[in-house]
Amino acid sequence: METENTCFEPQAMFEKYADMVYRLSLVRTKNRHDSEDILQEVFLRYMKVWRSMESEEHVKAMLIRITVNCSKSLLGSAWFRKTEGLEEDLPAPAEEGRDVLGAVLNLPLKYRTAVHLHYYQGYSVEEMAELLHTHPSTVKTWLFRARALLKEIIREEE
Amino acid sequence: MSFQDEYQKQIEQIKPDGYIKGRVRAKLREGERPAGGKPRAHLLRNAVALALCAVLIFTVGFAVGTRRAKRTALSFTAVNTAASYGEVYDAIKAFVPTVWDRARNFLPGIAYKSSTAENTDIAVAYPQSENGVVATGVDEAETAAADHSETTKQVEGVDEADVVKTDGKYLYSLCTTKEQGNGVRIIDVRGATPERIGMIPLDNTYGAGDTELYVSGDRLILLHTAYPNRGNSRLFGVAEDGIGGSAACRIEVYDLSDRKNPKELIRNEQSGAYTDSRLIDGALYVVSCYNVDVNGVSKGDHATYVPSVQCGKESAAVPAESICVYDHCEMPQYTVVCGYQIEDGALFDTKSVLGGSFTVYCNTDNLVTAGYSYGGGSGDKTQIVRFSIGDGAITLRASGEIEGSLLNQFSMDEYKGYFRFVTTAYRETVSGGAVSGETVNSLVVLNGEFKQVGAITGIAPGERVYSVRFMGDMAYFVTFRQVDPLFSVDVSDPAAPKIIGSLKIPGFSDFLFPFGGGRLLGIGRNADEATGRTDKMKLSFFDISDPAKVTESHKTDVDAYYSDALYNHKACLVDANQNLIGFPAYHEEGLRYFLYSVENDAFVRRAVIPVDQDEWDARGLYVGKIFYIVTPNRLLYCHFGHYDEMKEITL
Repeated sequence: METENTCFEPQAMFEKYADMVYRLSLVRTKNRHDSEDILQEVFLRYMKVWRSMESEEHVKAMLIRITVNCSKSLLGSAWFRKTEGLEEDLPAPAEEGRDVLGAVLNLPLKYRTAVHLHYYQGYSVEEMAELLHTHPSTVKTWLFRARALLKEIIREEE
Repeated sequence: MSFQDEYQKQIEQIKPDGYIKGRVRAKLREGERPAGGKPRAHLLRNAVALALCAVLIFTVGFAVGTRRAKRTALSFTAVNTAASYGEVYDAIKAFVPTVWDRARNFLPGIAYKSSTAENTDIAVAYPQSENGVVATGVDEAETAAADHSETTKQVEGVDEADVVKTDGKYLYSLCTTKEQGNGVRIIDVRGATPERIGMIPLDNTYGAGDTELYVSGDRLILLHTAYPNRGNSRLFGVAEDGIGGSAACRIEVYDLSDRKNPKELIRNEQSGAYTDSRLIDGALYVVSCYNVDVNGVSKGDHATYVPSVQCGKESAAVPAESICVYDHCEMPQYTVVCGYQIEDGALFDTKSVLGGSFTVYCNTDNLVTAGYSYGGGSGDKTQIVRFSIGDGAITLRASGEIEGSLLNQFSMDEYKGYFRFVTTAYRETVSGGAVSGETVNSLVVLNGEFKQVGAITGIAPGERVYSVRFMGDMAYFVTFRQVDPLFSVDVSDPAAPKIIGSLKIPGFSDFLFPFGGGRLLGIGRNADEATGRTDKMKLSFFDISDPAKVTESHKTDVDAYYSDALYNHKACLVDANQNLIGFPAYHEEGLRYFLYSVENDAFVRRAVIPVDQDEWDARGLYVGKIFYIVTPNRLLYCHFGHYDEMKEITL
């Protein structure tokens, strides 16, 4: 009888992290319907691994990694490049504000994934490298390039 | 409001619809029920749609003459050997401030300092080998090594590191089981039943993420990135850690003469995170990428801005004459290239270039590193540096910059003294925070000095390169259409590389492997011609016996949607001699290892072997007549052909 780790069971974690998974999927796929499919797929896969979770950070990281994996195959398709920026799926920018979300979504996939994980999820370069199975220097380059591309927006920050 | 605040505010508005959440909740409840059937992976079937997915296989013949191409796609940046550390210091200090400001927040490194205090003395000598490069000792064991598979690699005779290796008698596998901890398992496969006989525990609590290994004779080499002061991973382990210190690439050499008790011979470190490596006839070349903490640079203390190499207990800064400096330096990053003899781990040469690299091409004579260069608004560029390595020394020969970026190491090649690159450039315009742009693909041919001798530019605008394979006088590459293709081929100039054939097929290949008999194997994804949906994976044979008329001679759908093999060539088993093609991939029901062979030029599916959900980096290999699937936790094996009788041992 496995009684440990009941606090990480899928239904509870779904209530907690459904939004997080959905947002990352949306940033990656830029499409609501795909993000809904991915949301479901991610938690179904999580059901198979949740008993080995050791901490809530671990759960988050695992969900993010599964989300990235689930959206990978979709993103190889031409359709995604063709339909860059499905505005109808996205909230309109605040009236006064700049459309930073739109700008981020216009970035290439790796860059926008990195920007999202860094600026929204608050992961460091090393952590992102671990999440995305790559080198920290590679992640740094993505962020560096992303910021260069977003410079119109970033500049005001500095 | 800062960018971060604004981004957070806007992304927070995105939420899944309530009914969608309800649907998933129901699925989760259903899956919890013991007898309610397993949760069915409702994969991404409905997801992909619309565009016509066509592929062009470009067949490019090289008739590189002495003529120069009319148009140059290149700009060159001189690399000079630094005369002194002062010159290196000046170059680092000369970073364009705005670029540096943008980069600053993302550079985590504190300058790497070697552990010995003496290393500030330039005169400290490396433990040099006396004879230059020496091949490793011959295995003297009596049992002959069986015929066995090798890591899928780019260049014959140039080994690439991987997570699993075999020498025909033993398997060496990087394992991450919870019970045993991370480490290399040594498995004796000479007998009827594989037997775990030895183990090398991994020192890196960071995880086995970027760890790779080589085996040659009685030497095993472990390569990974070590982070000083770093405890267990915050993300995937329990312990909290203090992230600090910059990365060091660690090279551990083990003596395997007693495989039950492998002994560490030497532990070397070179500054920077592990990028890539190659093993050629006993000489190990390791490339790392070292970030300088510009804020911590002190002119008097060159350890704060000069990479260093530690061999065993001896550490030394890379001498100034081994550091190459670009005319302009865009990122405070070094590419550190070191050559070690694997027999004793001794360093035989090292060179550093001030400028980072992420992609490495290497054959027996040349090592080319490619790094991204921020073009300052003029589009992305790739900085390339060529070192000769054939003579046991690492010598800087040429450097340059080409427009666009490379897909991977297969985008680079050298043949008969000419260096060939296939690039995709993304030309973008930024207005009002929105970025728009278009891709353009090129093939450039450079001579040994990296002067351009030929080029085809402007290939397939709006597309990008999906896979590349150079084969001597020919190059094959696949681009993917976003719109219906209208392609023209210029054959008017025989002295320049020219597109001599193209093939339009649905789907695309992510990797191209030569498979003998005038065939090229493509591993990629399919697309429905009627609806244009990309869906399942597919295998293709391209008949390249007449390069001007390449055809897809056979193809088969793979009942899977995603595989590591689409991104990592080492995840593919491609062995024409044993007639085996294998890879792990996500089937609708879960992860499977797919095994194919070829009969009468047609793919025949031999087996679909279930593996666990988290074993996506499974590797297939064979030794003698036994086929193995090695995962981080388990070893599955069976005789060729008996794939429904897989046996298993845990690692």
